[in-house]
Amino acid sequence: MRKPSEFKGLREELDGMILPTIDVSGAVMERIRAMSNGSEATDNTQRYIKRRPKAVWVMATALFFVFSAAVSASVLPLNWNGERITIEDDGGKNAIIDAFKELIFGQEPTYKETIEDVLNNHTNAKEVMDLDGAIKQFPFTILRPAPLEAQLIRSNGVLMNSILQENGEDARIIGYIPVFYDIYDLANNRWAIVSQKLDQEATDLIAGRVTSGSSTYIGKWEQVQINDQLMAMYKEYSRENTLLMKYKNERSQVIELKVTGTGERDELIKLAKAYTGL
Amino acid sequence: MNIGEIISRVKQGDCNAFEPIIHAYQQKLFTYCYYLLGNRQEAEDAVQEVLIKAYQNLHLYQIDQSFLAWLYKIAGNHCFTLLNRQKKWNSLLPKFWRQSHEPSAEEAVSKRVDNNFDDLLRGLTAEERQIIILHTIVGYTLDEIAENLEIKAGTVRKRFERIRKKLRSTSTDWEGTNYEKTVRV
Repeated sequence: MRKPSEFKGLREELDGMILPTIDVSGAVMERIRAMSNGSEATDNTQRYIKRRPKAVWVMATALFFVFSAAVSASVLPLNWNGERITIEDDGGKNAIIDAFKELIFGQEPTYKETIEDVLNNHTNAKEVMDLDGAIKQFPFTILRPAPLEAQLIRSNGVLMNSILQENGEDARIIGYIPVFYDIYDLANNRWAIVSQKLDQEATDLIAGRVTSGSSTYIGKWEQVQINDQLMAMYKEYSRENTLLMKYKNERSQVIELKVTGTGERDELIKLAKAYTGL
Repeated sequence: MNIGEIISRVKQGDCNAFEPIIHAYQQKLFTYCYYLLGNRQEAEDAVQEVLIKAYQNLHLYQIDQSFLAWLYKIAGNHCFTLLNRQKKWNSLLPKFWRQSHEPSAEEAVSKRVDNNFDDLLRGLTAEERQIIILHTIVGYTLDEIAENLEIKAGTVRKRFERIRKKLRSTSTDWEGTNYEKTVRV
């Protein structure tokens, strides 16, 4: 099975960075010579076992400190409408894990391909509907955009399966999550998808139905805007960028609005503003 | 390097003829053992033992099979023996010893780097790790893995699918959301 060639460099980098070069030839040959002379060397061999050179430990220590510094770089908790929000920079750790998984299994479909699969084939979905159907069925007010340069090519509401997992396996469907998708074409074959769903917990918190709430976001999230009505964070990733928002509407419902795509930061923000006006 | 010639020279009593084999394969074996054991020092020690075993059992190697595949087989068996021994030992270790044992600076660094390794393969059993390592690091096809591990190709495929599912859930941008609900009476 062939592995994607674009990960060859990463694989070499991982090998080179993590694993030191070893040389056990001296220790092994000493034991082999002792064996061939009729006696297995024991004590002497133990002394002769070559440990990794000091330079490797210096490098490992340096990596450790770089790694620790990157992981510990977290932003102070924010408070948005009573919800405690923490952003933790993982130092690119999840990106390495994702790249490693791509190395093993090949490239995963893009977010756009995944959503198109949901809309076209009802993958992991109970029902796909148009805007009018979604307005009737959805428990929140669907945000519609002001006129935009970007070309809206498709809009659909979906009742996504909420699946209970047991021991890492999908066990059964326990409900349905209404999500609305707008797919946009941007210039130069780029794209963006705006998704919106009800953040039930945050809505319950504002309504006083729960007493406290907290969310932690992992990665290099940059805080874009925060006020009483909106909290927005942006993150760049290798394949797609994401602008994530919590938006409180006039009914005091919190909508999780997410703009994902290959567009630049400013393009995603512009798209989001067309929905929120903020 | 001609393996057949080396084996023949070793069989004739020239033990020094084995040295090029060590130089040629030690790094590959180290990588394999490291990813299986998850510890650098143990992996380095394991490589030594694997090469010694290979030397002692050279007469069992069949020239029509891949020499590296044969070494991987020995390495896999050795690492699993170590892992099983470790498992038993850990269950026997008195709790107080573990609490009082202060790691040296070297151990601490090693543990930290090894934790990074664990993040990559967390949640996988030793057998599942072996399949992943043989596929990604060694570059074997699933059929070759089946041959090396002496199990059915269908079994390897099933396990590979299970690993894929497990690994898919290891990374997430969200750590989680936690809400405390009040009960109104």
